[in-house]
Amino acid sequence: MLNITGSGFELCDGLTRRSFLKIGGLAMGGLNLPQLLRAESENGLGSSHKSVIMVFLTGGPPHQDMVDLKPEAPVEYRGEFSPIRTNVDGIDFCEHLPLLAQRADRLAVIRTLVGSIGQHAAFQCLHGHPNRNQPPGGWPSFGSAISKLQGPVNREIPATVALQPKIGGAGWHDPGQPGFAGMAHAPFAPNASGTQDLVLDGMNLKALRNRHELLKRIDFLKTQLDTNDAINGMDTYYQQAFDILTSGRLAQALDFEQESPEVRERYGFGSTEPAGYGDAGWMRNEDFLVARRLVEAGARVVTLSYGRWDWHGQPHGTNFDNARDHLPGLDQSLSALMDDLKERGMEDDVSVLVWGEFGRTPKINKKGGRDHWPQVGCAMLAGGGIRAGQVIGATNARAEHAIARPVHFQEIFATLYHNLGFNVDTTTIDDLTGRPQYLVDHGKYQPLHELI
Amino acid sequence: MNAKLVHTFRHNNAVYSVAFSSDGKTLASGSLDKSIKLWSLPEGKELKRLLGHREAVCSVQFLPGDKKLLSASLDKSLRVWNLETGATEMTMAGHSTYLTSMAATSDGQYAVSGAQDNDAILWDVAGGKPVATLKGHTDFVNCVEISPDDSTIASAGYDMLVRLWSVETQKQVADLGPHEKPIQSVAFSPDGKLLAAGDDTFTITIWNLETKQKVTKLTGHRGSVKSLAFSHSGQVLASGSSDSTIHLWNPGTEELTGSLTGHRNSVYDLAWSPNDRWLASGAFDRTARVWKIVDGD
Repeated sequence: MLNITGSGFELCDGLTRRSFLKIGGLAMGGLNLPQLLRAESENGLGSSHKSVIMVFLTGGPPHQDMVDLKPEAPVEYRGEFSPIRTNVDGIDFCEHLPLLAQRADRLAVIRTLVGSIGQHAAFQCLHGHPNRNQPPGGWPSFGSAISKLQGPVNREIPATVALQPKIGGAGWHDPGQPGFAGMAHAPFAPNASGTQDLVLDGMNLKALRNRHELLKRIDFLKTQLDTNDAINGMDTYYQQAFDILTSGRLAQALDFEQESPEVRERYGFGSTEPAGYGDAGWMRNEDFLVARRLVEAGARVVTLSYGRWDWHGQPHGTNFDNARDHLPGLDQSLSALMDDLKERGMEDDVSVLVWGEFGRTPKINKKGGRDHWPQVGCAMLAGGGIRAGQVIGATNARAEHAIARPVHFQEIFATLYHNLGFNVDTTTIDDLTGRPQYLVDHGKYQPLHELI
Repeated sequence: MNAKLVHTFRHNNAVYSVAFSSDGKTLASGSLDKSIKLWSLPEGKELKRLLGHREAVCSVQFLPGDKKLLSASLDKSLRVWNLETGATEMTMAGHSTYLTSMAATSDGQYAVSGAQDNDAILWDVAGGKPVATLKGHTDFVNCVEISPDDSTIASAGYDMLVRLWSVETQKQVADLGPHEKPIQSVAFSPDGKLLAAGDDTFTITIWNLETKQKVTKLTGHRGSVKSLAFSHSGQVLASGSSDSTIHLWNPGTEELTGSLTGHRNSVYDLAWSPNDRWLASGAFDRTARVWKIVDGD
């Protein structure tokens, strides 16, 4: 990540910024415009810009307290919350999701998400492949794969942006790895910190106007670094990074303060403070708004994490204390995003996915918590032209396991790839040995036919 | 009886504890955000922020004279804070896992803490060291209190028993129960004759401490009873619940005399001002609130 420090500085287009601007990742598609246009043409995308916003509920959200309530289950299973009717007959949500309940006709609910390894590891929600026996270079995150396949929509906005905060558990704030897609396709991570950060001391946006100064400083930075894999590809996106930095368009997309008070109010307000105890990340509703701004500006994939959903119980609040704390914020921000996309005519072009790494134990533990439950979890999908207003899958009477239509993480990814115009049976990316790798396990997983 | 919301004080995370100073002009709030905040009353301005605990602050109590504050944290420690400087003057540690509750004697000389190691520890606050470990509970201790005459400790938790201990001998002298589910809160009446215990059956049981018999059960909450506090007059028992409400009860008539709504999550602590005109509450909705008690409807 490239950090440009400063305070109260002015953007290239004259906008005043109150906070530091962090330009990170330096990930651009590595494709020139003809290549980009050809890639889009080959994938039947034409001039339309399809994109994905993925919301990672870090820690594992409780499926049975959100979209798969079991009011007839014994008290030690069913929990504290009551179901409420949605605007789709036969589909109930938790009482703390009233806004989403009124938008259920625009949502597809997966009640039978399976395939979790039971660990707090973001990769499950970032590429969905097993983390063992990975191909040389490792699996690229979904955003990195898309960046590799499609490149950026324009030269000013990276193809994939990860808004994960720099605070929080390592397994949760992972912005996604580029894997064998290559460093040039690493998600652009404006909120992250890590070893990939590159800091240009003393630079601000005013100074960036001086192209020679910028190049001089980048040259100096390069001399400070070893020639290793971490910076391979630097030359490739050298110019592209400069375009990002100097255009101001990315800075504008990241700056949610440019939105009207009414829009911001609709999304609600979050915080960059830890959302819970321990290794919690933040719970910032504004990230949903930034995600919309980014896809509107040209990003193909935007990921964000929201809150801390690992609710084992007292003394850090019961599962239900924490759910009462988190669900209203998710309800508001996700509903606002759905409405915003619809009103802007973007709903069919932008797929929104909300999920976590696993579900939670059907039986409430003695501390009022629910523990990890990789057997089954949940996901919500909206937009992207899917057939919404339906539930896929069913669990047993205590929400312990799938009894109908289990859905693997990779089937969700297959659906997203489909929504972006890719045929998972034919599309491959070469790994570091040059061997073509399918986007999801070939022949095993397909897009969800119920949705497409 | 009714109450009007006067102040809403915000933390970055759940508020687990509230306490008034002896002059009623300052409220302390302890939070899952690891901080303690001091608020001026009646103005409602943040006076000071005490930082140092490494985990949630589960209990706060002003020491006599209001120049020092005693706090307890899930980080397994108790701290004495100098409120002029905001510095920690003393730290005491002894539990092996999460410390969940703390209460101090009226003279501030002793304190007792309960923890998820199933123990309660009696502390010599002035000396900064443990006096004794009170062993007997067979499961997590959720709540501890000290009687108004400073003679008796009550502790309770997941083993569903209220255990009474002598401060002087540090021996268990009685137990009350068992309750049907884990006990989340206890409170002594000001005359020391009654003990209220709230549990996960959503019920408050009133125990007679002389006969060790149940006096009555107060029902009405729709969630676990997380917090209890008798007014100094003894005429009102306030209860806070995971149903997000605060109920006001007449312990003599067992009548529900008022219900305070506004919190959006479990009410984890309650405290009366010295003159009983104000009630403070701390909740998982990241706020501490101050309510002005109004007689009548």
